[in-house]
Amino acid sequence: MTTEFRLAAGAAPTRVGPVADFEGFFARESATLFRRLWLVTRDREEAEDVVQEAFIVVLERWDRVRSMDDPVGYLYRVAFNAWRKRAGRVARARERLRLEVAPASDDALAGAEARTVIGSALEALTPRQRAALVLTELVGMSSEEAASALKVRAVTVRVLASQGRAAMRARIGGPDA
Amino acid sequence: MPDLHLRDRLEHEAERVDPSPELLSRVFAGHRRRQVRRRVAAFAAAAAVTVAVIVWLSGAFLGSSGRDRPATVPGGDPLRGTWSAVITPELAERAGRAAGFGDAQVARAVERMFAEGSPVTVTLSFDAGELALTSRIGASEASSTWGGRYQVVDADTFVAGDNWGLPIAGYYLEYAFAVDGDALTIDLIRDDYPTPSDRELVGETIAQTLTYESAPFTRTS
Repeated sequence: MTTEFRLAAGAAPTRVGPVADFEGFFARESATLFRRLWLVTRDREEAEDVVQEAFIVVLERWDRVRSMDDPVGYLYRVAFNAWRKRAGRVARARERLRLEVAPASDDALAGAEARTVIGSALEALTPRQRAALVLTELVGMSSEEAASALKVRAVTVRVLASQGRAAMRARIGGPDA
Repeated sequence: MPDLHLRDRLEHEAERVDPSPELLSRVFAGHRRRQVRRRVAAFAAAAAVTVAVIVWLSGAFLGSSGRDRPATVPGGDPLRGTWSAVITPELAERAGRAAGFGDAQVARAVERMFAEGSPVTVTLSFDAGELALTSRIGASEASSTWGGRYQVVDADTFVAGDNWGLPIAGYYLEYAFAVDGDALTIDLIRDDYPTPSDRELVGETIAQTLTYESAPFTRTS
Protein backbone atom coordinates (compact mmCIF):
# COMPACT_ATOMS: atom_id res chain seq x y z
CA MET A 1 0.00 0.00 0.00
CA THR A 2 1.20 3.46 -0.72
CA THR A 3 -1.21 5.16 1.67
CA GLU A 4 0.16 8.33 3.21
CA PHE A 5 -0.39 9.82 6.63
CA ARG A 6 0.76 13.31 7.56
CA LEU A 7 0.83 14.35 11.21
CA ALA A 8 0.13 17.95 12.07
CA ALA A 9 1.99 18.98 15.23
CA GLY A 10 -0.08 18.13 18.27
CA ALA A 11 -3.16 17.51 16.20
CA ALA A 12 -5.14 14.55 15.01
CA PRO A 13 -3.70 12.89 11.90
CA THR A 14 -4.63 14.63 8.67
CA ARG A 15 -4.98 12.14 5.90
CA VAL A 16 -3.88 13.05 2.42
CA GLY A 17 -3.58 11.34 -0.94
CA PRO A 18 -5.05 7.87 -1.34
CA VAL A 19 -6.41 7.76 2.21
CA ALA A 20 -8.36 10.97 1.68
CA ASP A 21 -9.61 9.42 -1.55
CA PHE A 22 -10.72 6.36 0.35
CA GLU A 23 -12.47 8.45 2.97
CA GLY A 24 -14.36 10.24 0.22
CA PHE A 25 -15.39 6.92 -1.29
CA PHE A 26 -16.48 5.71 2.14
CA ALA A 27 -18.49 8.90 2.75
CA ARG A 28 -20.25 8.51 -0.59
CA GLU A 29 -21.03 4.82 -0.45
CA SER A 30 -21.13 3.52 3.11
CA ALA A 31 -24.60 4.67 4.18
CA THR A 32 -26.28 3.34 1.05
CA LEU A 33 -24.44 0.04 1.29
CA PHE A 34 -25.33 -0.23 4.98
CA ARG A 35 -29.02 0.42 4.33
CA ARG A 36 -29.18 -2.11 1.55
CA LEU A 37 -27.43 -4.70 3.66
CA TRP A 38 -29.83 -3.94 6.48
CA LEU A 39 -32.70 -4.79 4.16
CA VAL A 40 -31.02 -8.13 3.52
CA THR A 41 -29.80 -9.01 7.00
CA ARG A 42 -32.65 -7.35 8.96
CA ASP A 43 -30.02 -6.88 11.64
CA ARG A 44 -28.29 -3.56 12.19
CA GLU A 45 -25.13 -4.96 13.77
CA GLU A 46 -24.79 -7.65 11.19
CA ALA A 47 -25.17 -5.07 8.40
CA GLU A 48 -22.53 -2.81 10.00
CA ASP A 49 -20.14 -5.71 10.42
CA VAL A 50 -20.47 -6.62 6.77
CA VAL A 51 -19.97 -2.99 5.69
CA GLN A 52 -16.90 -2.81 7.90
CA GLU A 53 -15.51 -6.05 6.49
CA ALA A 54 -16.11 -4.93 2.91
CA PHE A 55 -14.48 -1.54 3.38
CA ILE A 56 -11.46 -3.12 5.09
CA VAL A 57 -10.97 -5.30 2.01
CA VAL A 58 -11.39 -2.27 -0.25
CA LEU A 59 -8.94 -0.25 1.88
CA GLU A 60 -6.37 -3.04 1.68
CA ARG A 61 -6.65 -2.99 -2.11
CA TRP A 62 -7.40 0.70 -2.50
CA ASP A 63 -4.49 1.38 -4.82
CA ARG A 64 -6.03 -1.04 -7.26
CA VAL A 65 -9.72 -0.47 -6.53
CA ARG A 66 -9.45 3.29 -7.16
CA SER A 67 -8.15 2.53 -10.65
CA MET A 68 -11.08 0.27 -11.49
CA ASP A 69 -13.77 1.44 -13.88
CA ASP A 70 -16.47 0.44 -11.40
CA PRO A 71 -15.20 0.56 -7.80
CA VAL A 72 -18.75 0.69 -6.46
CA GLY A 73 -19.63 -2.55 -8.23
CA TYR A 74 -16.52 -4.08 -6.74
CA LEU A 75 -17.54 -2.86 -3.26
CA TYR A 76 -20.96 -4.49 -3.58
CA ARG A 77 -19.47 -7.74 -4.81
CA VAL A 78 -17.06 -7.83 -1.88
CA ALA A 79 -19.80 -6.90 0.58
CA PHE A 80 -22.34 -9.45 -0.59
CA ASN A 81 -19.68 -12.11 -0.79
CA ALA A 82 -18.72 -11.30 2.81
CA TRP A 83 -22.39 -11.42 3.82
CA ARG A 84 -22.79 -14.79 2.10
CA LYS A 85 -19.79 -16.22 3.95
CA ARG A 86 -20.91 -14.81 7.29
CA ALA A 87 -24.51 -15.91 6.89
CA GLY A 88 -23.72 -19.56 7.55
CA ARG A 89 -21.57 -18.78 10.57
CA VAL A 90 -24.13 -16.36 12.01
CA ALA A 91 -26.94 -18.87 11.57
CA ARG A 92 -24.92 -21.53 13.36
CA ALA A 93 -23.98 -19.13 16.17
CA ARG A 94 -27.59 -18.06 16.60
CA GLU A 95 -28.66 -21.67 16.71
CA ARG A 96 -26.19 -22.28 19.55
CA LEU A 97 -27.37 -19.16 21.36
CA ARG A 98 -30.96 -20.24 21.01
CA LEU A 99 -30.07 -23.45 22.76
CA GLU A 100 -28.15 -21.73 25.55
CA VAL A 101 -29.99 -18.46 26.18
CA ALA A 102 -33.66 -17.61 26.34
CA PRO A 103 -34.58 -14.90 23.82
CA ALA A 104 -34.60 -11.45 25.41
CA SER A 105 -37.25 -10.08 23.10
CA ASP A 106 -39.37 -11.37 20.29
CA ASP A 107 -38.47 -8.35 18.21
CA ALA A 108 -34.89 -7.70 17.20
CA LEU A 109 -35.96 -4.51 15.44
CA ALA A 110 -37.05 -2.46 18.39
CA GLY A 111 -37.62 1.30 18.72
CA ALA A 112 -37.04 3.31 15.57
CA GLU A 113 -36.59 0.08 13.64
CA ALA A 114 -39.98 -1.31 14.60
CA ARG A 115 -41.46 -3.42 11.89
CA THR A 116 -43.32 -1.80 9.03
CA VAL A 117 -45.54 -3.57 6.56
CA ILE A 118 -42.69 -3.76 4.07
CA GLY A 119 -40.26 -4.78 6.79
CA SER A 120 -42.49 -7.67 7.78
CA ALA A 121 -42.88 -8.63 4.16
CA LEU A 122 -39.11 -8.63 3.74
CA GLU A 123 -38.64 -10.78 6.81
CA ALA A 124 -41.01 -13.36 5.36
CA LEU A 125 -38.53 -13.88 2.50
CA THR A 126 -35.44 -16.05 2.75
CA PRO A 127 -32.12 -14.18 3.10
CA ARG A 128 -31.14 -15.22 -0.42
CA GLN A 129 -34.42 -13.93 -1.84
CA ARG A 130 -33.85 -10.62 -0.06
CA ALA A 131 -30.28 -10.42 -1.37
CA ALA A 132 -31.35 -11.16 -4.94
CA LEU A 133 -34.15 -8.61 -4.69
CA VAL A 134 -31.94 -5.87 -3.24
CA LEU A 135 -29.13 -6.42 -5.73
CA THR A 136 -31.38 -6.44 -8.77
CA GLU A 137 -34.04 -3.91 -7.71
CA LEU A 138 -32.05 -1.40 -5.68
CA VAL A 139 -28.41 -1.76 -6.67
CA GLY A 140 -29.43 -2.19 -10.30
CA MET A 141 -27.25 -5.20 -10.99
CA SER A 142 -28.06 -7.55 -13.82
CA SER A 143 -28.82 -11.11 -12.77
CA GLU A 144 -25.35 -12.07 -14.04
CA GLU A 145 -23.68 -9.43 -11.87
CA ALA A 146 -25.77 -10.39 -8.85
CA ALA A 147 -24.95 -14.04 -9.48
CA SER A 148 -21.27 -13.21 -9.36
CA ALA A 149 -21.71 -11.41 -6.02
CA LEU A 150 -23.77 -14.21 -4.51
CA LYS A 151 -21.75 -17.05 -6.07
CA VAL A 152 -24.79 -18.66 -7.62
CA ARG A 153 -25.96 -19.05 -11.19
CA ALA A 154 -27.72 -16.17 -12.94
CA VAL A 155 -30.82 -18.27 -13.39
CA THR A 156 -30.91 -18.80 -9.62
CA VAL A 157 -30.82 -15.05 -9.06
CA ARG A 158 -33.68 -14.57 -11.50
CA VAL A 159 -35.74 -17.22 -9.73
CA LEU A 160 -34.96 -15.87 -6.25
CA ALA A 161 -35.70 -12.27 -7.25
CA SER A 162 -38.90 -13.27 -8.99
CA GLN A 163 -40.08 -15.28 -5.98
CA GLY A 164 -39.15 -12.38 -3.71
CA ARG A 165 -41.03 -9.85 -5.85
CA ALA A 166 -44.12 -12.03 -6.01
CA ALA A 167 -44.16 -12.61 -2.26
CA MET A 168 -43.63 -8.90 -1.56
CA ARG A 169 -46.41 -7.88 -3.93
CA ALA A 170 -48.76 -10.38 -2.33
CA ARG A 171 -48.11 -8.81 1.07
CA ILE A 172 -47.82 -5.11 0.29
CA GLY A 173 -49.72 -4.80 -2.94
CA GLY A 174 -48.33 -3.49 -6.21
CA PRO A 175 -48.79 -3.56 -9.95
CA ASP A 176 -49.51 -7.28 -10.23
CA ALA A 177 -50.73 -8.01 -6.72
CA MET B 1 -37.91 -5.32 -15.47
CA PRO B 2 -37.55 -3.11 -12.39
CA ASP B 3 -40.66 -2.76 -10.26
CA LEU B 4 -40.67 0.98 -9.47
CA HIS B 5 -43.38 0.68 -6.84
CA LEU B 6 -41.48 -2.03 -4.99
CA ARG B 7 -38.16 -0.25 -5.43
CA ASP B 8 -39.57 2.96 -3.93
CA ARG B 9 -41.00 1.07 -0.99
CA LEU B 10 -37.69 -0.69 -0.39
CA GLU B 11 -35.73 2.56 -0.65
CA HIS B 12 -38.13 4.19 1.77
CA GLU B 13 -37.76 1.31 4.20
CA ALA B 14 -33.97 1.48 3.95
CA GLU B 15 -33.97 5.21 4.72
CA ARG B 16 -35.16 4.40 8.23
CA VAL B 17 -31.70 3.44 9.43
CA ASP B 18 -28.31 5.13 9.47
CA PRO B 19 -24.94 3.52 10.05
CA SER B 20 -23.03 4.25 13.22
CA PRO B 21 -20.86 7.39 12.97
CA GLU B 22 -17.94 5.31 14.26
CA LEU B 23 -18.01 3.02 11.26
CA LEU B 24 -15.10 4.68 9.44
CA SER B 25 -12.85 4.52 12.49
CA ARG B 26 -13.84 0.87 12.90
CA VAL B 27 -12.72 0.25 9.33
CA PHE B 28 -9.32 1.85 9.95
CA ALA B 29 -8.95 0.02 13.26
CA GLY B 30 -9.83 -3.31 11.62
CA HIS B 31 -7.38 -2.59 8.83
CA ARG B 32 -4.59 -1.92 11.37
CA ARG B 33 -5.43 -5.12 13.27
CA ARG B 34 -5.12 -7.13 10.06
CA GLN B 35 -1.79 -5.55 9.23
CA VAL B 36 -0.47 -6.40 12.71
CA ARG B 37 -1.77 -9.98 12.43
CA ARG B 38 -0.04 -10.35 9.06
CA ARG B 39 3.25 -9.01 10.43
CA VAL B 40 3.02 -11.39 13.38
CA ALA B 41 2.25 -14.27 11.01
CA ALA B 42 5.16 -13.31 8.74
CA PHE B 43 7.46 -13.09 11.75
CA ALA B 44 6.25 -16.47 13.03
CA ALA B 45 6.76 -18.01 9.59
CA ALA B 46 10.26 -16.54 9.36
CA ALA B 47 11.03 -17.82 12.85
CA ALA B 48 9.71 -21.27 11.90
CA VAL B 49 11.92 -21.32 8.81
CA THR B 50 14.93 -20.25 10.86
CA VAL B 51 14.29 -23.04 13.36
CA ALA B 52 13.80 -25.53 10.53
CA VAL B 53 17.07 -24.47 8.91
CA ILE B 54 18.92 -24.77 12.23
CA VAL B 55 17.42 -28.22 12.82
CA TRP B 56 18.28 -29.29 9.29
CA LEU B 57 21.85 -27.98 9.56
CA SER B 58 22.41 -29.64 12.91
CA GLY B 59 21.08 -32.89 11.44
CA ALA B 60 23.47 -32.54 8.52
CA PHE B 61 26.47 -31.87 10.78
CA LEU B 62 25.57 -34.70 13.14
CA GLY B 63 25.17 -37.13 10.26
CA SER B 64 21.51 -37.67 11.04
CA SER B 65 19.47 -39.48 8.45
CA GLY B 66 16.63 -37.08 9.18
CA ARG B 67 17.39 -35.03 6.07
CA ASP B 68 16.54 -38.01 3.89
CA ARG B 69 13.02 -38.11 5.19
CA PRO B 70 10.50 -36.20 3.13
CA ALA B 71 9.11 -33.02 4.67
CA THR B 72 5.64 -33.52 6.08
CA VAL B 73 2.85 -30.99 6.31
CA PRO B 74 0.25 -31.54 9.01
CA GLY B 75 -2.75 -33.08 7.31
CA GLY B 76 -0.79 -33.34 4.05
CA ASP B 77 -0.56 -30.81 1.25
CA PRO B 78 -3.95 -30.72 -0.48
CA LEU B 79 -2.50 -28.87 -3.46
CA ARG B 80 0.33 -31.27 -4.22
CA GLY B 81 0.07 -32.55 -7.78
CA THR B 82 -0.61 -31.17 -11.23
CA TRP B 83 -3.80 -29.34 -12.14
CA SER B 84 -4.97 -27.97 -15.47
CA ALA B 85 -7.66 -25.62 -16.69
CA VAL B 86 -8.65 -24.68 -20.21
CA ILE B 87 -9.40 -20.99 -20.49
CA THR B 88 -11.28 -19.37 -23.33
CA PRO B 89 -11.57 -15.61 -23.92
CA GLU B 90 -15.22 -15.77 -22.82
CA LEU B 91 -14.33 -17.43 -19.50
CA ALA B 92 -11.49 -14.99 -18.91
CA GLU B 93 -13.72 -12.02 -19.66
CA ARG B 94 -16.37 -13.28 -17.25
CA ALA B 95 -13.76 -13.82 -14.50
CA GLY B 96 -12.33 -10.34 -14.96
CA ARG B 97 -15.73 -8.71 -14.75
CA ALA B 98 -16.79 -10.84 -11.80
CA ALA B 99 -13.67 -9.65 -9.95
CA GLY B 100 -14.74 -6.06 -10.41
CA PHE B 101 -12.48 -4.86 -13.18
CA GLY B 102 -13.93 -2.55 -15.78
CA ASP B 103 -14.92 -3.57 -19.29
CA ALA B 104 -12.01 -1.75 -20.91
CA GLN B 105 -9.44 -3.14 -18.47
CA VAL B 106 -10.74 -6.66 -18.94
CA ALA B 107 -10.86 -6.31 -22.73
CA ARG B 108 -7.20 -5.22 -22.83
CA ALA B 109 -6.10 -8.05 -20.54
CA VAL B 110 -8.03 -10.66 -22.51
CA GLU B 111 -6.58 -9.36 -25.75
CA ARG B 112 -3.05 -9.70 -24.35
CA MET B 113 -3.71 -13.12 -22.86
CA PHE B 114 -5.08 -14.55 -26.10
CA ALA B 115 -2.93 -12.57 -28.51
CA GLU B 116 -1.41 -15.74 -29.91
CA GLY B 117 -4.61 -17.74 -30.09
CA SER B 118 -7.02 -19.60 -27.91
CA PRO B 119 -7.90 -21.54 -25.89
CA VAL B 120 -5.08 -21.43 -23.35
CA THR B 121 -4.41 -24.44 -21.14
CA VAL B 122 -2.96 -23.37 -17.81
CA THR B 123 -1.19 -26.03 -15.76
CA LEU B 124 -0.19 -25.62 -12.13
CA SER B 125 2.33 -27.96 -10.63
CA PHE B 126 2.54 -27.90 -6.83
CA ASP B 127 5.39 -29.95 -5.48
CA ALA B 128 6.94 -29.67 -2.03
CA GLY B 129 6.74 -25.91 -1.81
CA GLU B 130 7.55 -25.25 -5.47
CA LEU B 131 4.87 -23.92 -7.77
CA ALA B 132 5.35 -23.99 -11.53
CA LEU B 133 2.83 -22.44 -13.89
CA THR B 134 2.91 -23.35 -17.56
CA SER B 135 0.59 -22.40 -20.37
CA ARG B 136 -0.13 -23.94 -23.71
CA ILE B 137 -1.92 -22.24 -26.59
CA GLY B 138 -4.12 -24.60 -28.56
CA ALA B 139 -2.10 -27.71 -29.37
CA SER B 140 1.29 -25.98 -29.17
CA GLU B 141 4.02 -26.93 -26.73
CA ALA B 142 3.64 -25.77 -23.13
CA SER B 143 5.87 -22.94 -22.00
CA SER B 144 6.80 -21.83 -18.52
CA THR B 145 4.84 -18.78 -17.41
CA TRP B 146 5.80 -18.40 -13.77
CA GLY B 147 7.73 -20.29 -11.13
CA GLY B 148 8.20 -19.71 -7.45
CA ARG B 149 7.50 -21.00 -4.01
CA TYR B 150 4.19 -21.55 -2.28
CA GLN B 151 3.05 -22.33 1.21
CA VAL B 152 -0.31 -23.63 2.39
CA VAL B 153 -1.36 -21.33 5.22
CA ASP B 154 -4.55 -23.05 6.30
CA ALA B 155 -7.32 -25.26 4.97
CA ASP B 156 -8.33 -22.78 2.30
CA THR B 157 -5.46 -20.33 1.85
CA PHE B 158 -2.05 -20.49 0.26
CA VAL B 159 0.57 -17.85 -0.41
CA ALA B 160 3.09 -17.73 -3.23
CA GLY B 161 5.89 -15.63 -4.55
CA ASP B 162 9.00 -15.75 -6.62
CA ASN B 163 12.13 -14.75 -4.81
CA TRP B 164 12.78 -11.21 -6.03
CA GLY B 165 15.87 -11.45 -3.86
CA LEU B 166 13.55 -11.54 -0.86
CA PRO B 167 13.32 -14.16 1.87
CA ILE B 168 9.99 -15.61 3.03
CA ALA B 169 8.39 -12.17 3.00
CA GLY B 170 8.49 -12.57 -0.79
CA TYR B 171 5.14 -14.38 -0.63
CA TYR B 172 3.40 -11.43 -2.22
CA LEU B 173 0.46 -13.42 -3.54
CA GLU B 174 -2.36 -14.84 -1.43
CA TYR B 175 -5.07 -17.11 -2.75
CA ALA B 176 -8.16 -18.84 -1.38
CA PHE B 177 -8.55 -22.37 -2.66
CA ALA B 178 -10.99 -25.25 -2.44
CA VAL B 179 -10.38 -28.82 -3.46
CA ASP B 180 -13.44 -30.89 -4.27
CA GLY B 181 -12.39 -34.33 -5.46
CA ASP B 182 -10.34 -33.72 -8.58
CA ALA B 183 -11.47 -30.12 -8.94
CA LEU B 184 -9.54 -27.16 -7.61
CA THR B 185 -10.90 -23.62 -7.53
CA ILE B 186 -8.65 -20.69 -6.74
CA ASP B 187 -9.46 -17.07 -5.99
CA LEU B 188 -6.90 -14.32 -5.76
CA ILE B 189 -7.09 -12.55 -2.40
CA ARG B 190 -4.03 -10.33 -2.43
CA ASP B 191 -1.42 -9.38 -4.96
CA ASP B 192 1.33 -7.18 -3.57
CA TYR B 193 3.55 -7.54 -6.61
CA PRO B 194 6.53 -5.32 -5.84
CA THR B 195 6.21 -2.54 -8.37
CA PRO B 196 5.93 1.19 -7.81
CA SER B 197 3.57 1.57 -10.75
CA ASP B 198 -0.18 1.44 -10.08
CA ARG B 199 -0.81 0.72 -13.72
CA GLU B 200 1.53 -2.25 -13.76
CA LEU B 201 0.03 -3.53 -10.53
CA VAL B 202 -3.48 -3.40 -11.95
CA GLY B 203 -2.26 -5.25 -15.04
CA GLU B 204 -0.60 -7.86 -12.85
CA THR B 205 -3.72 -8.28 -10.71
CA ILE B 206 -5.97 -8.70 -13.73
CA ALA B 207 -3.57 -11.24 -15.24
CA GLN B 208 -3.52 -13.19 -11.97
CA THR B 209 -7.31 -13.08 -11.78
CA LEU B 210 -7.81 -14.30 -15.33
CA THR B 211 -5.25 -17.07 -14.89
CA TYR B 212 -6.59 -18.47 -11.65
CA GLU B 213 -10.29 -17.59 -11.56
CA SER B 214 -11.47 -18.17 -15.12
CA ALA B 215 -12.13 -21.89 -14.77
CA PRO B 216 -11.77 -24.63 -12.17
CA PHE B 217 -8.61 -26.72 -12.42
CA THR B 218 -8.77 -30.48 -12.81
CA ARG B 219 -6.20 -32.80 -11.27
CA THR B 220 -4.09 -34.49 -13.92
CA SER B 221 -1.62 -36.18 -11.61
